[in-house]
Amino acid sequence: MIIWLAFKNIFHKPLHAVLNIIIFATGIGIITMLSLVQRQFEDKFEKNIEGIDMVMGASGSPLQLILSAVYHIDAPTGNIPLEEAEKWMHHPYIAKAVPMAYGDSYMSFPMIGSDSSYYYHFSAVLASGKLNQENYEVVVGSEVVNKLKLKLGDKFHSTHGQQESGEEHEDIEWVVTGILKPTGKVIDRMIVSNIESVWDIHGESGCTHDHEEGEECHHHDHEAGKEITAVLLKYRNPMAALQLPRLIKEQSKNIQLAQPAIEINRLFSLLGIGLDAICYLAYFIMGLSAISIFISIYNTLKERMFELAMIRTLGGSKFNVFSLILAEGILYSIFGYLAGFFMGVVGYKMVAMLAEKEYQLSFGNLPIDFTQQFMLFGISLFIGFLAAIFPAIKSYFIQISSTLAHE
Amino acid sequence: MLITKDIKFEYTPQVKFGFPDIQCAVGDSLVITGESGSGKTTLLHLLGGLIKPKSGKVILNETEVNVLEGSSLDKFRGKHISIIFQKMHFISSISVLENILLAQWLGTENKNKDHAMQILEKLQIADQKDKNIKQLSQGQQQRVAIARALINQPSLILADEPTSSLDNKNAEIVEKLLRESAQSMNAALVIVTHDMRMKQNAKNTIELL
Repeated sequence: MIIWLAFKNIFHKPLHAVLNIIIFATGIGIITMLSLVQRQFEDKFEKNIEGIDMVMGASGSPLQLILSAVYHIDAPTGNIPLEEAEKWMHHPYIAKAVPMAYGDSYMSFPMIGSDSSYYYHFSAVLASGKLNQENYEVVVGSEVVNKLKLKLGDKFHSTHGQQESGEEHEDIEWVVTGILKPTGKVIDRMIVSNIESVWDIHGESGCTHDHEEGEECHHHDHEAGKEITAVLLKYRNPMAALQLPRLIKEQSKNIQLAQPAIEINRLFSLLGIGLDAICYLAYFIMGLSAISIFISIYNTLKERMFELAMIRTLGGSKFNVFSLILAEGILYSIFGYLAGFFMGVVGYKMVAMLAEKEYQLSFGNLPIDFTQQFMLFGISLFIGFLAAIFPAIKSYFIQISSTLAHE
Repeated sequence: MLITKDIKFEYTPQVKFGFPDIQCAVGDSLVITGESGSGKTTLLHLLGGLIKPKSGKVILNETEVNVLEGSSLDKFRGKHISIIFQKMHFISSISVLENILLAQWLGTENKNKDHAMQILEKLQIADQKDKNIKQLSQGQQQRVAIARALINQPSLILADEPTSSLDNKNAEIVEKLLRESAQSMNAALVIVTHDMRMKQNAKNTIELL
């Protein structure tokens, strides 16, 4: 009955109530959304570097190398001679090496030339078709299939570079010969061919290219040996982690090694500063909402003194009126929390849609952090409590007689 | 049966009141008149247990009201005493019927919608039940206040200037309503007023000086 009355009192002034709830919900919503997005990103990023100790590629920014070689959301840093790369790929310290040549795309989905080790690396399994490929045959990931409605036997022209608007390779026709089951990893949005096709399409000498180096590459067709873009490496033992980087640095000057775990941590910690700042802002908004709820309750308390005295007269105890006012504050925070959670999820869905459109990154499940939500709910209750406790104490000590006599 | 014995009250040492002893049997009514400042409202609040006398006793049906404390006083008041104030106070966020039900719940910890509707019908305001109090006329509000006072079948009904803002005709109706309701409910009715119209019809009157 008290809670019902508190509910009625709150929504007696619906605009006030909605305003308070919206302010509160904004704080909760921002925190919830950020956490969802962050967790999803971290999950996506970390899942894809499993089993990769090191990425080998052309000199440049190590972060760019990781972003391009592992996630295919950045341009490649350049190419390295196959001969040079193979020297290390077959080194005794190396347990697994996945060579990759890439730089082209089809409808914004990245294309890559590799060998069967690429499928093993992602534990990818065929849904239909076949894996071992002839030139210009491709195996496509599940997201590509979903998005582009590709099926076995479909033919298409690839584009130079990552953008949809890039120059088309009109003379070459790719054929879809295999479709992969979803893995939840980056291979889902890849179009995979054999390396030879990539070499072939960019000149007989087999030189892959990226945006910047494409032109140059064609000029040096005759002198260049076969090139690849990057290699994913897994060490055989911890010793390798200590020795190999130094060896490579000494012997192959223009080859760069980047450690995905370190680069991704660096990326997250950079992002983290920004996210933390927004989070503090969200907590600040929640603080504001506490003040706004306090003002709402305190303002109406003045005009409702008679009502509260009347409740006392009708048999309500001090505790009844105390809990009535307290319940109003806490109801605000509960509604605020629920609305905020909803806002956060909707915001996350919107970010997910955007990420999918811009980067073909599909966010699957809703990675709700229950501990965090539990904590947020606790903080919410506390804020509601804080906003209402002083008015509640005030109404606890109401003097019935003088309140009702002096009108 | 309401009995008071030698009650005294003081706001400050300068402003103090002594009140004559009162007796009012169930079904009976008593009109207390007096000039403003004579302590009418103070006496009413003393009878209703809203304030405590400095000395003396207020006894309602063998319960000494002035010794009750805290929530047991609140409970006793909710169950046995109804007060109709000069200015009517309702909970503005809920409807007429909900106000009655709230009084029922606060007094008895039960809600009986049928009973509430009966009372509203008796007072001819049943059709207003879903309206907000503010949408009602003064006279209708008065009836709701009476309905609320009657809902828990109290032993004592206290009314502070119930007719002062009404015209002759309505004042008479309200007065009659109060008397009849108190009688039918076996409640003692104490009316505090400076309205001389009421004094004329009353059998028992006390004038505060």
